[in-house]
Amino acid sequence: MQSKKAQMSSSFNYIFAIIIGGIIFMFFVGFAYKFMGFGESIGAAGLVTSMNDEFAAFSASDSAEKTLSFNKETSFRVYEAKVISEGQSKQIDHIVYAPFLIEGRDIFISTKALELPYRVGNVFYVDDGSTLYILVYDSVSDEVVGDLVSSYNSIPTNLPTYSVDVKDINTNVQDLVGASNGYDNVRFIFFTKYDTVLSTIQSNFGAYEILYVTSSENDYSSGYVVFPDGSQVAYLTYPLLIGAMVSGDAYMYSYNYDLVMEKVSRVSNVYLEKSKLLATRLPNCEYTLIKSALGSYMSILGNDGYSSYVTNIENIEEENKKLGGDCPEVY
Amino acid sequence: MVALVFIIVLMVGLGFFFKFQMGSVQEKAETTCLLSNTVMLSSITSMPEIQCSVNGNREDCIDTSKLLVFDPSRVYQEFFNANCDQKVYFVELYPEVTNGTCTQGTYPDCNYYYFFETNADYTSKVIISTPVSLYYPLDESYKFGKLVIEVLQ
Repeated sequence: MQSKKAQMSSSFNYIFAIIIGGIIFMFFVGFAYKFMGFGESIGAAGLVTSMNDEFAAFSASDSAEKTLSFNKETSFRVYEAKVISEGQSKQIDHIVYAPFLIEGRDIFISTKALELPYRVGNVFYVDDGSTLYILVYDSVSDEVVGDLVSSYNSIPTNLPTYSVDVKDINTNVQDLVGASNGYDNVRFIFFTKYDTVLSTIQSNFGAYEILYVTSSENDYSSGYVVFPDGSQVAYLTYPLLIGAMVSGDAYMYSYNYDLVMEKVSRVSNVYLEKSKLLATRLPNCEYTLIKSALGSYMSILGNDGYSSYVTNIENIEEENKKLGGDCPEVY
Repeated sequence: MVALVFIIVLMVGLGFFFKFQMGSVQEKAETTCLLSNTVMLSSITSMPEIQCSVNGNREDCIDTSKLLVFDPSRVYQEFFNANCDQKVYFVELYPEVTNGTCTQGTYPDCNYYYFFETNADYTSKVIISTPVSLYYPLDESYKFGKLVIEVLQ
């Protein structure tokens, strides 16, 4: 009887030890997973903060480029003015144009100052180098594309670009295919009509997109960009054209365009208030016309198209140039 | 009994571990905050809302007339409060003028340009600053000053 009882007690001890051991084991496994998640969140928070600092440091330059190298594969998104990584997101007070997803060990960031007509801030471009941007020109847009590829207004050199005459696409398509080797995607930016070369592109490229740029300005400094889904967006100055080139889609571009308009409104308001202050303190100076030009400019912000912006910007530039000497310029 | 003692020791050990872990995270957050504010010293001076612009060209100075008319607390709340709270202001150092906060009424006979401030409780503060050139468009003169950021902790 005693032996049977001892046998049962021994079995119970084993079962008890297995249950307790299992609970402790599960606790540690759960703890390890939670700790890994915590570590990833800290890393992601660090990434978004450092990105934000990079943008802030860059905003002092008119034009700058930088490569951020990470010790492991990194992936994040820049969407609706937020840097999003591993479930962590942080609002950034910068205008950042980027593709849908940025991933890799090397991330390329660059910036350009935006002047409309005065400096309203910087726009930033983030890219992972997986897309080749092919700029296609004709005899009319030849010079513009030349400027975009190599001049002060140029596309940042850390964005992979290639330029080609539309006439050469059908005859030398293999050169183009060779240039695009090593890239995951190809994005064609047409500064001319592309009907005659569309079939060549379709039959030679797997992953490609076509953006179409139109403008009534000779230098294409403002105009429209048509995205692959048919959405047409306006751009003002080359930095915004480059922004459209890099943006994942029309919505991502338009979100940033609205932010640009907010910045223009904010800076214009500062200049309007400054001109009022100068007018009060310097009664012998004529600030009425520039005040009126700034007021008119602010009233059209948010309008569709680009022609009204071009007219107003020219008007402000003209009125500001009339000032000087004892009557300081507004900007 | 052994299991109970083991669990108690485990809990105490984990308690210490979490305490050190939290301390380390907090220290990292404070370092990040200080680093971000140091970067901010250069980015504030290049804000188009306050930076000088003469004949359409930007210059490395702060336009005091813009400081008077621009209120960053309405639009830059997120920018300033991203990592921690701070107080930001400009002070004119040379030539010395009447002490006092600059408003449209006192300008230009004043030396303190309030820029941004949060109403946050803090136990200590770290002060960082950088020299700046302050531009006065009324007489087109330049004066020596500094941009100060008080990082509240």
